[in-house]
Amino acid sequence: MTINKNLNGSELTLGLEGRLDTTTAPELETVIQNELSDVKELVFDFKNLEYISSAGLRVLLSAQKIMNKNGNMKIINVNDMITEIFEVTGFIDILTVE
Amino acid sequence: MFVFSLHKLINIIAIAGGISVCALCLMQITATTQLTKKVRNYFHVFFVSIILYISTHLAREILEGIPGSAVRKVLYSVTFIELIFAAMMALTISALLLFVSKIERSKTVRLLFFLNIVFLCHLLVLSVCQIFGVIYFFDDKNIYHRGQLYLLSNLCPLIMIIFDIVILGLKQKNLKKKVKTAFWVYLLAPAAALFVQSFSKDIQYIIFATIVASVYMFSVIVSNENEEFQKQKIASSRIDAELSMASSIQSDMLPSIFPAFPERKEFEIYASMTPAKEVGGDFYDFFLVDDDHLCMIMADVSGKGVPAALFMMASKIILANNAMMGKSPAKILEDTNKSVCSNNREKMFVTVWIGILEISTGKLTASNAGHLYPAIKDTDFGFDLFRDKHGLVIGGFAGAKYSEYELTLKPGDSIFVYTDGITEATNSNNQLFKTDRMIKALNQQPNAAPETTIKDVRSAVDLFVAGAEQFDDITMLCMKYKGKGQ
Repeated sequence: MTINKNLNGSELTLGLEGRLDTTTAPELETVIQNELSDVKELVFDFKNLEYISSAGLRVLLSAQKIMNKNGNMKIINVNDMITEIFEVTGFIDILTVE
Repeated sequence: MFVFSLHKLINIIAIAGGISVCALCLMQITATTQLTKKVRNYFHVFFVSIILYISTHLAREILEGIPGSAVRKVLYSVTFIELIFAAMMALTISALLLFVSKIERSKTVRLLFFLNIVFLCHLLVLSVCQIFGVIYFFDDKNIYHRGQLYLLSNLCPLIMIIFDIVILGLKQKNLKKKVKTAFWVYLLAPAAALFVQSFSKDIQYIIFATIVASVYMFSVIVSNENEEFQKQKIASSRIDAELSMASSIQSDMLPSIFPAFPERKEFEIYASMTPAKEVGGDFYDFFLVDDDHLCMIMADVSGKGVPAALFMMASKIILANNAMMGKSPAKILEDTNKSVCSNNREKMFVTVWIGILEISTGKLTASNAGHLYPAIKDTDFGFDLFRDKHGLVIGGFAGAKYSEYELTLKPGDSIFVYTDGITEATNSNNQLFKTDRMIKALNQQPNAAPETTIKDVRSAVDLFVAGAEQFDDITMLCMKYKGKGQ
């Protein structure tokens, strides 16, 4: 998986490519834990994300909890398969998906 | 005619002995499997360099003083090679020292680059000087003499020795005492020999000293590597033993004696869990809350391995405790979620499907916290996915609310719950098994007993993945309702 970071003022866009699973989730977790202190708007771009596993959902949950305190978080360009995963797991209710 | 004096004979015998000792060391490197790849490579190059170094030296010993222009050419060549490999030895020892003193990778790369540059300069200087004969030359009788710039040939080994001394001094803490001593012996032995040699010029003490010190250093490093290897082996076998115990503790936590309720004729239940690693994060559970209520749980913890297994054990107990109090499924999930969220710094979560069957009537009350859709078999239509309403996973947010739904099972109806180890089982073409194939497998023998149904799905998955590695835990539970009088 590759993470494309794009910081624009206080808005951070993270473009994810590939698979977000047990092996790659720690990479994203490091970014979330270390680079969100000054971020007010966090955007995940899932345009090139093929798959997300429960380990990946866990990181999204962490990010959402941090951003609930600091500002806003949204996820854009989510494909059908990942939308279904969000629906099944109930994440659709706590995440902002556009 | 060869003319041998006693000291020449001693030198020749000693060098020949040295070559065999180095060859033996080379054989031992190949035979010892416990060596790190890098150490093995460095010692290979090192001993080959020593052999070339001392054999060219031997050739020079034998040929020196024999007149003739052909001999002279050979003498120049072997001396040139001797000087190259003397530096090569120093280079490999410095590289080896960098490796065993555990310097950070990026620094090691830079320092190795520096060493290689020094070595290349050495080659360049040697080649230029070879043409002009300023480092050494052979006179008319083919006797060896040092040239004006003789010291240049020692510059590269000298830089590397100083480099080694600096590294040994700076990285003392990273090296074991005996490894450190072995390096010091290697570095100081030739100096000591040089001192002795200044009294008796004819015997090549330096070469003896180098060979003895090299073999000593080799044996120390090999025994050190062996020790580390054994330590790691012990540590990893301890972890293996603990994991296999953890694995049986975990599987013992799940009800696994079938038939589970031989005295109950109103229903039949079967379940199985196959973790992808020794321990897993999936679990199922079923138990009678009272005489008329059967509780069934299917759950999947985020992640895999030991962390998932620990979280699984806690969630399973909390769920069962809440269920045994006679609460409704939605209330069980709500209370479990509260308990889990209160101490969850690692942000772990678990998806749970929970259903409580009223055995006398067939009424099933269920609630779903982010788990996959159950498959329900209606006697008339076979198995199909039941798209129930979903709440958030357990462990997500403390205040999450869960709703429950009811449906009535007729005698002959079944319910099948599972984890994503089934739907996301992947074959070598990266295709997923998906729910369609699962439903198809379920409907091979829709009226079969739960055990057969689960085995059918399992063999369909196995056939589909065809030997590709299992990535996720595979867990299934199937309950067939028979009703009264069946």
